[in-house]
Amino acid sequence: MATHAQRRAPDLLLLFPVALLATGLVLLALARRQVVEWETLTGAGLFAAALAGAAVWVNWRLPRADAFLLPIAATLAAVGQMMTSRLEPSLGPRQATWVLIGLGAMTLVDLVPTVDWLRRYRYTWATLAILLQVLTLVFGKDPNGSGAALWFVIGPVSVQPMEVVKLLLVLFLAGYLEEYRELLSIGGRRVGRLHLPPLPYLAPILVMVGAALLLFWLQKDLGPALLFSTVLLAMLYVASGRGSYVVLGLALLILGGALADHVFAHVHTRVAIWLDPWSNRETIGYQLVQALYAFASGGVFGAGLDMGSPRYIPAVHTDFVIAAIGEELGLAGSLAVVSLFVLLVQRGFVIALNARSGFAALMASGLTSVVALQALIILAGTLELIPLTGITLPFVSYGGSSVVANFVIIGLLLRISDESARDDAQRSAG
Amino acid sequence: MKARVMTLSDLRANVRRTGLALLVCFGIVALALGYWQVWRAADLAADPANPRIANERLMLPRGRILDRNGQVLAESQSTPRGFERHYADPSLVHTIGFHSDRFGDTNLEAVYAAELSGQRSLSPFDRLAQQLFHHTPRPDDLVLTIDKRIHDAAIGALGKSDGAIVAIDPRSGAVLAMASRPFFDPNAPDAEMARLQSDPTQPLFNRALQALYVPGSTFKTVTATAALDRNMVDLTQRFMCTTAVKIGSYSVDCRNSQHIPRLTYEQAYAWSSNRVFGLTGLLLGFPNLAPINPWLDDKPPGPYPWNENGASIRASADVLEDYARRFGFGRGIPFDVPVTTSQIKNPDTQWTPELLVQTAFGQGELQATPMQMALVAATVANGGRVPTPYLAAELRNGSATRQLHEPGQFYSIASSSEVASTMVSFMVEGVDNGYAAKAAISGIKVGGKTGTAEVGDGTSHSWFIGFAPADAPRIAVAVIMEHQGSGSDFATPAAQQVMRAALAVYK
Repeated sequence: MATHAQRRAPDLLLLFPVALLATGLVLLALARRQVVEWETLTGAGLFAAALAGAAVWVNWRLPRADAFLLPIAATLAAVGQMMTSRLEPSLGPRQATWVLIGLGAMTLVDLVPTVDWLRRYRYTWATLAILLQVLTLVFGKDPNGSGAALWFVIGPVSVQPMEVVKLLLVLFLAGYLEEYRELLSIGGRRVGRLHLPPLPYLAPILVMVGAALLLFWLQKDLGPALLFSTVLLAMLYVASGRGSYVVLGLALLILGGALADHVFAHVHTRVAIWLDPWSNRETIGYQLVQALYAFASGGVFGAGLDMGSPRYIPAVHTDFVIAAIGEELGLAGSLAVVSLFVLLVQRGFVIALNARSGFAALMASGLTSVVALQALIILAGTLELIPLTGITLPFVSYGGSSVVANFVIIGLLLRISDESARDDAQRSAG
Repeated sequence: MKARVMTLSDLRANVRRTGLALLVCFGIVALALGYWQVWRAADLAADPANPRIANERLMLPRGRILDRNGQVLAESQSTPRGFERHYADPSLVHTIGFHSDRFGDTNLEAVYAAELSGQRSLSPFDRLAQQLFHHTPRPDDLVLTIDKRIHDAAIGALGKSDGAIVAIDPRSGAVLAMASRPFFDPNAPDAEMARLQSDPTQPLFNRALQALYVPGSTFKTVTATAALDRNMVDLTQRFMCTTAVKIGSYSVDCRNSQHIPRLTYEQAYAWSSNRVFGLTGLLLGFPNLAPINPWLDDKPPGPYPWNENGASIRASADVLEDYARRFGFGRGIPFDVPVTTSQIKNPDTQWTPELLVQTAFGQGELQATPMQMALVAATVANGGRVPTPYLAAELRNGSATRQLHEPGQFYSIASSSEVASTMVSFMVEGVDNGYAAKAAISGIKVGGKTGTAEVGDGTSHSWFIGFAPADAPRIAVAVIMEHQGSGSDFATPAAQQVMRAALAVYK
């Protein structure tokens, strides 16, 4: 058996995000012709301390957890802090603070007694999710003028409940699908070659997800609506193995989208921009066209940190952060970010594969799908592959709730991987 | 498909497939990144609506434009808005062109835009290094052949008259001055532009290169060169020129030269005899000149030796057209910036004896740019070779220089060098004992030909072409002053000022 030191060698990878952030902050200070002071590195220092603390905690409490998850997520978070400092310097310290809170929240996940404990409270999570949605509808504020009232404003901070809802929804779905997955996989009535889902068992899911979607529709927040729909399909497939559910689901999604295109003005606008951003480049297509200019001007090696003009893109530090990365760090930088997501998603699904229970496997693949699909929705939207729907790029975009929620996902994945490895060890010992 | 209960390993297969599907999606995103950042990079970077283009123009300094002595004619000045182009002297606008964010670049600022903005001087390796290490490109400085002092003399010589002056070193082809009036101030073109476009005096119009004028008697230089080069003229022979002669419906007179009873061909040129040169054009096509020469005399015996609709007209016209083409008429002039092509006649017109006579002495349907007529003078001064004119001498970047033109090139041969030296003596005669007297500079032999081009509204454009010193020419000029009157009284003294100034400063 490998020694403890060998197993935790990947912890040294944590030096990379620290070095990346430190280099980025120094470069930014130099590019702006400021003197590099120790203060410049405060953010990197705190980040290093928090990562070291988190690593020690994980080593102590979850010694068998996946060793690569944290370095990958931390690198994405380092890129995010660097780009926030670049694009909105005044928000840099805020984002750094949120990363520290996120790392803290990640360790707090450890308070969960067992992974299975989460399964037992599945209906509680569902109720909480609906409650949060309704509360958002009633008390939601729009502090940034984004056009949708999606935030709870508590004193100086605004929290986006959607980020909590997405976690609760995955927990509920994992629990519910685990309970009924045998029934779901057997399928219901057959129409020709198509197996229709057994409606009675699907109904609770549809009600729950339908309610969530309806509330997002009411709030005109299409990004989360698309995210939840696709996460549901992914988890439904993992649970049932039925491609027909996915085909049916995607068909419904496209049909619903096409219907919404006719009915809702704001949906129609998004579709029109997607179909032809160029002829509307001065009006509704402005943001997307500016993002495409930014990508193009970056080329392969980029303009260099602080050397491009990504500020032409409205909301560049949140939804369009990848365009700023593309412009200033080039294709090299944007592909590096995509690669980090690929690595993260690969680790997440490996954890799901190694899970020792159906619930753990469903939960791990659900959580990983959330990160993957959220990244894909905003990346594909920014690149004009699909209609653009606003949502943050996990770990990278500015936004406290998003950073914290995504670190909680890392915490949960760490917990699942540790538990599976312990089970294996016990089994082989016994 | 047979339904069965799912095991944990079935679940794992589903997990694997879901994971793979999502990773494929990331692959598609990566391809899309490549599409926008590499495949479409060049065309989006050049999209005029890309705000980076205007921004870059503001943020990067542009190279300076210098005269031949290093005097700064245009430079980028740092302002709170970014860099702005500043021109030392508005009267140079038609020489240099201008650089404007709203209206783009013109003339040299357009032709050498890449070098002036620092884009073209780089090797591919330097370009990559620049991208990786973010060196600000260092733009080239553009050094012109213009001498600001000669330009100033030219603008001064034009005075308040609209028109143009082109001065060329006939040995090298270097353009020493290229002045056009009226001009406008390129330092504030954006706000002014609308007004300038509707200004009836057309200040945006570069007369030196783009205006077509009837060349008048200055064109007799081309006709004389053709006659001499065809060995048609006996220089000792004398011509009577006291009466008009009727060619078809057109009567060509002797009014310029009738104070001299018997003219040599040289005197006919110096005193600008329309009759002698009109008939020269008509007779150019005859291979054997002995029986025809009397036709240049006062008492032409017998019938005309040509058939009015026959081959002889076309033969003569072909010769005149050939020599005009050799000087550059009817074909492009190779130059740093486009020059309007001068014409011998309208393309659709048929040659008639009347038109041929009028063309040969400089009217008809002739249209010439000041640059073209400067080249006619420069050709005579350059031994019959038409020098290739150039305005941009070299690019400088730090200690490195890149020569843009080889001096002393010629793009056409108009005549033998013997004929050219005869033409030099003709033109010296024009200054010493002819209509070009006001071009004389004490102590220096000057050659010149005046022209008074009838415009059709009762006024005349005043022309002069010439060179100095005649024994070793260093400057050839063409001067056109619109609606001023005779060539002798306006363009000639103006040219004298320019040549005197040039000889004082330019060796």
